[in-house]
Amino acid sequence: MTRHDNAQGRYLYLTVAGVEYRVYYEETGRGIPVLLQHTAGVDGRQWRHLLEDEEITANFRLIAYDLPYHGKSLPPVSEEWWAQDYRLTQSFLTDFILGLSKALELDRPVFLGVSLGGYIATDLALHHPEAFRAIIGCEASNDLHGLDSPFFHHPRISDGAKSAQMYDAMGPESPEACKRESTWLFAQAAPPVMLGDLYYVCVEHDLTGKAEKIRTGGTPLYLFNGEYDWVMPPSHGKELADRIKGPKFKMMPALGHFPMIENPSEFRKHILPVLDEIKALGT
Amino acid sequence: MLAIDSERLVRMVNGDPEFQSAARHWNATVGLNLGSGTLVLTFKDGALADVGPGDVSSASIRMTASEQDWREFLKRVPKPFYQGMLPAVARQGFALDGDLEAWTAYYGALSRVFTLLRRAMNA
Repeated sequence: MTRHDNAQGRYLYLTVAGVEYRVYYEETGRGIPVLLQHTAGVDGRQWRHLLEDEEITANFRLIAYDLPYHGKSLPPVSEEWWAQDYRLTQSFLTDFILGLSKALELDRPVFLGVSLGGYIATDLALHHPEAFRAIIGCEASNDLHGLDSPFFHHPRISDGAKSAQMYDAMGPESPEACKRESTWLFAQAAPPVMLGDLYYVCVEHDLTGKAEKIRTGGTPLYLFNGEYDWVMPPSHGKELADRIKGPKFKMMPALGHFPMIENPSEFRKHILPVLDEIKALGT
Repeated sequence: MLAIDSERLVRMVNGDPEFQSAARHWNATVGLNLGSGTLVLTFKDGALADVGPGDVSSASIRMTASEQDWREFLKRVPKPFYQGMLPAVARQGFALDGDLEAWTAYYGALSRVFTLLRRAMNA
């Protein structure tokens, strides 16, 4: 008998800032909706292990999407995108996430993001907490200025070299097959995507003087950083959490910058209790 | 001082399919200041041609750290941010200079050398 994954994929059309995008997403499960945001320079496949976790999907509807220009979400047909530099902005990312939630008719979903997703998690917690019942940001920090190296989009440096660097952002004891799958995905992004994504991550995102304004009373905020995440060390995540009133912060031992794909069985140990807590809130 | 079996390392590296793929067309010298000594790796046409003590200052890519830091870096499971060159440079004070474009382009090849060295030293 043929064995299928539980996740099913489809496309929807979403207009953001006047431009229509054909957006790919995969979903599985039923119950409280959870939007899953991938990291910079990759796509929603990073979430495939969580999507197959039946202990989670019994109570949660997991939705993993590809941002435009990532994975199966192609650049928009109405734009001469090839004549422009690809650049992800906070404004676009925010409008996209809120627009996707509305298009899918989600009732105050949980937002769970890693790296780029962790940054936008904190920006959503600051600007749009009412749109979510809980926000979980992994590998977040106050800012990441200066790590947008031009070598991320360089004609003499291959996408394979980029993915080799990503390997070292993961924990040394994470399963080798998982780490290799993670780097495989990085090697598949279109050449300008990583550096373009880092415009939001490394230039725009900055919670200096803003983190203190995040209110977690109506929308719980959870922050996690992996012990081996050199990009966003746990000390940076803790420093950010200490400036916010009421978040729950935890360091994830042995994990690195891509916890959901580099070591899914360890990552779920941290996420399951949080999702149980959110379920118990019942709002 | 770090004890590195150069001949064995050359055999391991050149016999490794992943290194062979990542190092295609690579010609460079990588000089490592190990605190108590030096190691210069010479790559020719995608193979590790020679390893041994030498003049690090004339190498095209140079990395410097204390012997203690290199020992941690080469452990099977190192402490956080010693797990690779990038984290070690960014968070543990390893100095890197020289041809950074080539270092980035051949990051996978050089990382593989360190992985094999790590494996040999922890066998």
